[in-house]
Amino acid sequence: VGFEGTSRWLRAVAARTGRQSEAEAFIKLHEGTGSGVSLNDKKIYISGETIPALGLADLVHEAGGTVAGLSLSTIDQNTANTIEESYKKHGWKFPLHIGDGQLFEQLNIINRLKPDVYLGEWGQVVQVARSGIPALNFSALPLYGYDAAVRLVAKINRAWNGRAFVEKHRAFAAPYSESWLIKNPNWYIKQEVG
Amino acid sequence: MKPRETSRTQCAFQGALAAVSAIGGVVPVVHANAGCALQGYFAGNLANGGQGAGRIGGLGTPSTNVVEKHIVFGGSARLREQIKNTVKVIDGQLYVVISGCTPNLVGDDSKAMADEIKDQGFPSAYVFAPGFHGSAYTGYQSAVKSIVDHVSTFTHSPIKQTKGLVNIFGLAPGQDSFWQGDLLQLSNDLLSVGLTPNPLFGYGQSLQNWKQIPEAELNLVLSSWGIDIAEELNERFGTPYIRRGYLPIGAEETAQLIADISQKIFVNEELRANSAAEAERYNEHFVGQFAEAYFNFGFQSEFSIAGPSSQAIGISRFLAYTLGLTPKTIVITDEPVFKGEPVEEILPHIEVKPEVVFSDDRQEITALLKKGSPELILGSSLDKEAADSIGAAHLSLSFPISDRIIINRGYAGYHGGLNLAEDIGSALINRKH
Repeated sequence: VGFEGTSRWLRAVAARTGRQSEAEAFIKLHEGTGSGVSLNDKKIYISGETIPALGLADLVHEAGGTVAGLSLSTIDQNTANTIEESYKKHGWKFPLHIGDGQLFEQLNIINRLKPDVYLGEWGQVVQVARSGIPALNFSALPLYGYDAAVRLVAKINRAWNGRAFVEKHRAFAAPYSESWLIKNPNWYIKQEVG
Repeated sequence: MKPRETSRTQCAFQGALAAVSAIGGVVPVVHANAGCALQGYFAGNLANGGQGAGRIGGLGTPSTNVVEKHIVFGGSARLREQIKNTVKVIDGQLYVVISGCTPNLVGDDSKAMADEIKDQGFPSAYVFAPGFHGSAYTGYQSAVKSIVDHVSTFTHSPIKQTKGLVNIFGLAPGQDSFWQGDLLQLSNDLLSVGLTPNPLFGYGQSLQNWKQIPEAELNLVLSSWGIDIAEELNERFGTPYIRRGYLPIGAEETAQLIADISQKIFVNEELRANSAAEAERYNEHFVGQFAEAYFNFGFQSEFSIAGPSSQAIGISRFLAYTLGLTPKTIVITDEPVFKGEPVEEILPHIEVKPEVVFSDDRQEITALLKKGSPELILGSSLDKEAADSIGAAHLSLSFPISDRIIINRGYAGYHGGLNLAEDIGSALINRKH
């Protein structure tokens, strides 16, 4: 996912297939592909499966945006290091939210962070959009490769430009009470532990 | 003037014929080449969403079918013969003679022939509509003006005004593809606030409605093609008018239009508020449902549009302001009048300004619509190829339309926006990437 991610993947494949020179030529051909698109400091919240979500986070940073928060479906021994690397690489300070589904928790967090655009998956995006945040379902879009990276950035910008839609239809906000939205998103976990 | 390839605006004759044929009880009598009325049937009716031609139209249109001898020796006698025969075989409340290109080139006095029939007790009117006189909108205006002149002869001073009666002008039958549905939707919206709409064309409209024109309290003009008529009616009968210049689509634009009307004539405030609130609730409910598809399928798209000003502007405003789509290029195919910079008048509150171009040339329109590879192209059936070539979704909204059927569908008014959202959503999910 993303410009650097695509080049990295191509180099890795080339190294194992002995096609380094072809890969380098192809990568050179696409140098500057992302220079024409920019997220212009937009704050993006990303929610989804760990690996594509972290790839998207890389793209957001490459395209001049910032990651405002992150919800991942799971964390385990295989992905913990990758997540930690991303935190270090991008200098993230925000707490990581782990929850498969658990949209009520995400909305609580989003309500505090007020990102410019939410990148999520099927179904989730609708609920988030109803809370007034422009939302984009990345799981319905091609993610991998240079062209996809350009299209993804353009699509995020379009979601932001078209925020009139979410702003006008806030009346259909997800039915979460104000009292929940101001609580700690981990409030239910504490209840169970207690 | 540079040549145009495959113009998507019909000629003045077709505009006049379609307008006259869209009024119940009014009989067109065509004085034109053999084939002119037939072309109107193929284009304005069949290639316009497969719309019907009405009771007296299409292949049943009375016509002189002018041929060579009528050019050489003149065709007035042929017209006289046609009128006499028409009144014998077709019952009508008004016979409207429409003269096309060739009779006007050779100088036939068609008006005199139309007047002649009056002496025999048949009401008649005459429309000067050679194709070279202008576009279908010019023909629409000429037809409206002629029939208004005819009905005005029944108007005696002082005019008894009918409270709340609103004439609607500016949507040209046969040219504006959704003219009938749009008029129906707007009429319902005016009814909902206690006003009496007078759409003049289409369902339930007859000469009786036209006779009421001078009694109206207000004239509403929904494109650039009706301003002259509204100004004339203002001069003759003192009727004020509102010029919109584009179709009001969706709850917000329609509520604003009705609010503007209430600034000109009395509108029951309680009805107005209730109607706007109910329309908003209704729209919110269904747009809320539409949101599921919108966000799940990623409808946030760039679009380019080609069409007549009333539609291209109305649709662009609804898509940009309400549905949050991004306009890329707006091609306006008629020749509307703008006071200032067109893009500022069309979409004043938008960050990324689209390109606005005036063109009725197919080659140029194709290039403009493809420019920047938008994901959605809204235009005529002629633009499907352009959309396919860049992998864009395509929806036919403006003449000519040969890939969908239009019966009473409309995009104007409180609920028209939902129809538009439905059609655009369907086009987007059928897009072949």
